[in-house]
Amino acid sequence: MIEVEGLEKSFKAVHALRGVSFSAYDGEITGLIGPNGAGKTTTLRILYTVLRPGRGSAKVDGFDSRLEPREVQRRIGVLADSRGLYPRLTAREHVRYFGRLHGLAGASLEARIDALVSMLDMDDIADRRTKGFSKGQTMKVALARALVHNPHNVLLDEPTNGLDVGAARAVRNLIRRIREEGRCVLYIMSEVEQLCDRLVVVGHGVVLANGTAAELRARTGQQDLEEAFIQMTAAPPEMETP
Amino acid sequence: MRTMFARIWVVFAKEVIDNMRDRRSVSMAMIYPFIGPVLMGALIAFVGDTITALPESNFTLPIQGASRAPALVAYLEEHNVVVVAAPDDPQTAVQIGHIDTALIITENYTDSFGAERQATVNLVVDGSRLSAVVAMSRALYVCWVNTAPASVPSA
Repeated sequence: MIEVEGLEKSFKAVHALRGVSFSAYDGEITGLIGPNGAGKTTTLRILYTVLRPGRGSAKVDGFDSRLEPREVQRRIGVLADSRGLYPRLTAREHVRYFGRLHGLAGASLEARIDALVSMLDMDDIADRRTKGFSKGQTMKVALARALVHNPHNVLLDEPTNGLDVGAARAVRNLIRRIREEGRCVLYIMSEVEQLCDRLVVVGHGVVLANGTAAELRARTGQQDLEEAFIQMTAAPPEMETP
Repeated sequence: MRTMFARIWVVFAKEVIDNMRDRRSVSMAMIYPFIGPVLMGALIAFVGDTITALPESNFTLPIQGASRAPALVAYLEEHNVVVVAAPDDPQTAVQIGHIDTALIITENYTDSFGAERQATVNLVVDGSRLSAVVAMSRALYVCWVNTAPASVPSA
């Protein structure tokens, strides 16, 4: 369960967030959607404790990301916008490293790694150094290390970005599987996908719309979700000047 | 605290693996410890060879005014020193490198020695040449042995 309330964040003169509020519920896939620079990644970064909000709060299972970052980190698995792998470590070593950082060790950690390797279909790359990995292979490693501690909340920043059709489908299946387990998935995307139970449309640092796909279609009068998205994000919202 | 140290250890272990697999940084780290002693050893061996090889050979010492100190010359010859006559201008000869060193026995040597006063000899040497420094030490050594009052040879 993720609750974001009145989030504001400025980088010098740039107002990245102007009051973002939404909730992502357990057992649902919540899509954070919006054009480039809308504030999606900033919102996610505040949630995973690397940025402090200027105002407002971001809570994971009731823990405030600013006040109790350790508790939040324990409860989230993050696929960050930059996947940065260590080129001289193998895929398996990456997952093991993050597992150890989360306090896992021994046979249970190795069993968890094996499970992730087979779940993500990584058997052929698990013991290769990550230097020279393709985008899809890199993505799998980054996903595996995000999920190694079996987090209840999963934050994914454009997980299918740059993947081929097959790999993207595998990732979507994995995300559905996480939902079936009753976990909370918050999913950033720049293209409209049919995967999400709930869509939060972000633009110009505010939430433009929040609801199920059907609700958004009804609201805009557009049958096509992509058209609805274009319509919602085209005009800048009327903003109250403080 | 314990978990913090455990985390630091996890990160440290990862860094060690990561860096040990980086061939370039490993070889750079290894070069100095391995090459350094080798270079140092080679230098010491070279200098040592130069210094120890010289005393075994006959040591030629040009002397000016050898006739003023026959006892000294006899003593030097007894100690494998080949005494030759120094050029007229020993300073210049040493400077331009014709000879490594030259011993000048001063004119009042005989008088002083006879009167049991300190007898003066001058040693000309170019200190920038290793062979000259070795020659100088040898010359000084044999002169000191000869002229020191306790060990004045009976000859």
